[in-house]
Amino acid sequence: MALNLNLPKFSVSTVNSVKKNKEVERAHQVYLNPSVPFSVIDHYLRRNDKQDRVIGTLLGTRSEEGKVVEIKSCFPVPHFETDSHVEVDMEYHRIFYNTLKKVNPNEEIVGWYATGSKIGKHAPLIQEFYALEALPHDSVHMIMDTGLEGESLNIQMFSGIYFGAVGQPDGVFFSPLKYEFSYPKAERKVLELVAMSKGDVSTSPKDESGFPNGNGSVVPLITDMEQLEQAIQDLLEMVRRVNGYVKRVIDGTSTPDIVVGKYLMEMLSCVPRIDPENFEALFQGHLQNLLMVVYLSNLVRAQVNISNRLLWVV
Amino acid sequence: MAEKVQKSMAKFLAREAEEEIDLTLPKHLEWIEESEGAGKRTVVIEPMVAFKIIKHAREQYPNTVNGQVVGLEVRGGTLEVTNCFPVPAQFRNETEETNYQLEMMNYLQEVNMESNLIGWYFSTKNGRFMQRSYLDMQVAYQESSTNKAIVLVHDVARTKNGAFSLRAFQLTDKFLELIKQKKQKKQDQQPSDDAGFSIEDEDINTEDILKSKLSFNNIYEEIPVSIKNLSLMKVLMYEMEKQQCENAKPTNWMEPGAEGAKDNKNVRTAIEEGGFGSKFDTLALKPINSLQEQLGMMTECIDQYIQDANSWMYWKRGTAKEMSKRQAYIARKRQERNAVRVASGQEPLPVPSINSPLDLSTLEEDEKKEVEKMFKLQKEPGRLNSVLNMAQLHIMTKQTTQITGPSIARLYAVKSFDTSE
Repeated sequence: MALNLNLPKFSVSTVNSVKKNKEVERAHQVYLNPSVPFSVIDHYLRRNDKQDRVIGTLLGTRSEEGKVVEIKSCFPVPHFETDSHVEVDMEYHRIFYNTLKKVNPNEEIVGWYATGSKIGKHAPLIQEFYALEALPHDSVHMIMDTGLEGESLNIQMFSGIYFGAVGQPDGVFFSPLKYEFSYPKAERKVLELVAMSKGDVSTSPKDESGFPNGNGSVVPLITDMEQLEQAIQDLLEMVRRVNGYVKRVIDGTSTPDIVVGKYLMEMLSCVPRIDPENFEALFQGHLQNLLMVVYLSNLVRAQVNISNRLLWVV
Repeated sequence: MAEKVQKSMAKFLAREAEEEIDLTLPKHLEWIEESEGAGKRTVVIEPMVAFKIIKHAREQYPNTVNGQVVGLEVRGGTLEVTNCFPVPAQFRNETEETNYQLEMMNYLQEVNMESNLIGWYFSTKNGRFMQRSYLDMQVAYQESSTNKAIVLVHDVARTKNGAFSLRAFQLTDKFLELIKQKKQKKQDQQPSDDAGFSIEDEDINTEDILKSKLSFNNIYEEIPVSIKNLSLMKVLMYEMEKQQCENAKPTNWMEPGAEGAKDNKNVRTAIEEGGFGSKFDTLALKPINSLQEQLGMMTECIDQYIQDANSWMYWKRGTAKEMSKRQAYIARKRQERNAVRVASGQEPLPVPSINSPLDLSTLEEDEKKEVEKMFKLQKEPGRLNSVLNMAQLHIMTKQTTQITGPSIARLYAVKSFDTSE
């Protein structure tokens, strides 16, 4: 059952009557988990033929007063719109939300997303609906220009501010909200991996039969060692660059910059000075420990291999 | 110089971690080698799936979680994982779980997502996943209609301490074949309508393992995992980095318009290249807690291994004792009968020698029955768990090397840093 939102008079009046009793808490700061835009992109790529906008529900947590919102996940909601009217499958939204609640009871509805370069024509109507869902808090609206109309994804956040007469569906205006990405450690690692291939301009590697490989590139997972190697290489590169700059300044070929100089001073003074003897002792001790561990674990592995082969002898 | 040493050391350790200890195999064991060479299949996951699994695992940490993955199989054996959904930890019964799964599938289908179940995922800590419960689950998945089901293992602890760890596994055909045989046998023995036989530990003994050529490293087969990056996602990455760089201006020394803004560019690009600001995390000389945990778990596994070995030895000894009893009994019996036979002019029966083991097939039918009745042999303790335990040990020792390798490299890096100053 798709509830037609074209005539949402009752819902608007409910919002307004609730608002009369208690001012809806407005979000001030929004944190966005990187998985959300990825999901939105996925949803957009799977849209129906001739559909140019997709919408969905944003889930997340709020601080106690509702001032800080963290958007943690989202799910798509089917909808249908024409110039004059819009239908949102509210039943789908409700049931899916309830199913998700079984896994993660802490997450609540914090708002909704839509794709497009600017706020859609029917956004006020949908906003009314989500405002009801998110009561007693405010609902956040996120838009993402997945069609790249503005040549950038341009993720924007809005909160709805109501005005005008009771029962007036377009009595809402969207005020921009500040948001930041939150980068939990594990997610950052995935992002780094993904970032490794972002420089690839050859977008569609072809497989043997010449089919474009889903217009993306594929990055294999890397090991700790490779990651470390890369980090060291990057570090060396940076040191080399700074070194070059300092040399140029000393030679007089480049104009010295007080700000950079001060920054470098600050950096160098951060380096702890350990007395060489002490350092050597620490270094050797630590190294011995690690080597011991490696030795022991190799021993165990050899044992496991031997016992496996012994099975044949018995 | 120090840099060179550190590099070669690092390379050595990295190689060490990847390779088996190489002992040349005798000819009749060459299949071990063969079975280790995995096919060219790969698993490609979308970043969204990785995020979802990470999130699910983190929110329930330290409990382990599981969920299901959907996707499609592309030609050439590549499995594309396009979505996943978590399964709640507590279900009252199985119907509820099935209903939940069906519901989820329907929802995914409605928004044009793939609704083709291709496996499941679970989270673990420090590579601990060679366990019976997981094995049984995977057997169930691979025995169902989609026998290509995979299991994705996300290691929360390793992701915390190192690189993102997600591995894909599949049971080998050998193991599946063995399980199938065993189930068939069981069903023949006690026919019932209930098709859901589960394989118990004691069902698999040494003989089975020998016959099926099963060993600790060919129960599971690892499939390499890659992450897919769509063009739109690349755009997103650029924008996220851009935004982060804007937020990352901590002081005003980088303000444009300051003197020498051109040279500032140097420093600025350096910061931008830092990406998500965490690439250098790996350089931190952090205390190796994970190593400690790892070693603790290794000790546990070794204890378990010794226990298994002891109980097997105990069984072996008991069996040997019973066997010699049987032999002595038969020898005595035969001698008595031979005395009678010689007296009546018949050929004497062969008396089994004490030095060679008793072969039941040389006995007469009634003798066989008699000894089997009198001297009961105990059943061999099951070997499946100990094989799994060995697999676990093997994985953990590998991981230890993988953890210590970078640590040593880091140490050398610090040393060269300290001396070069």
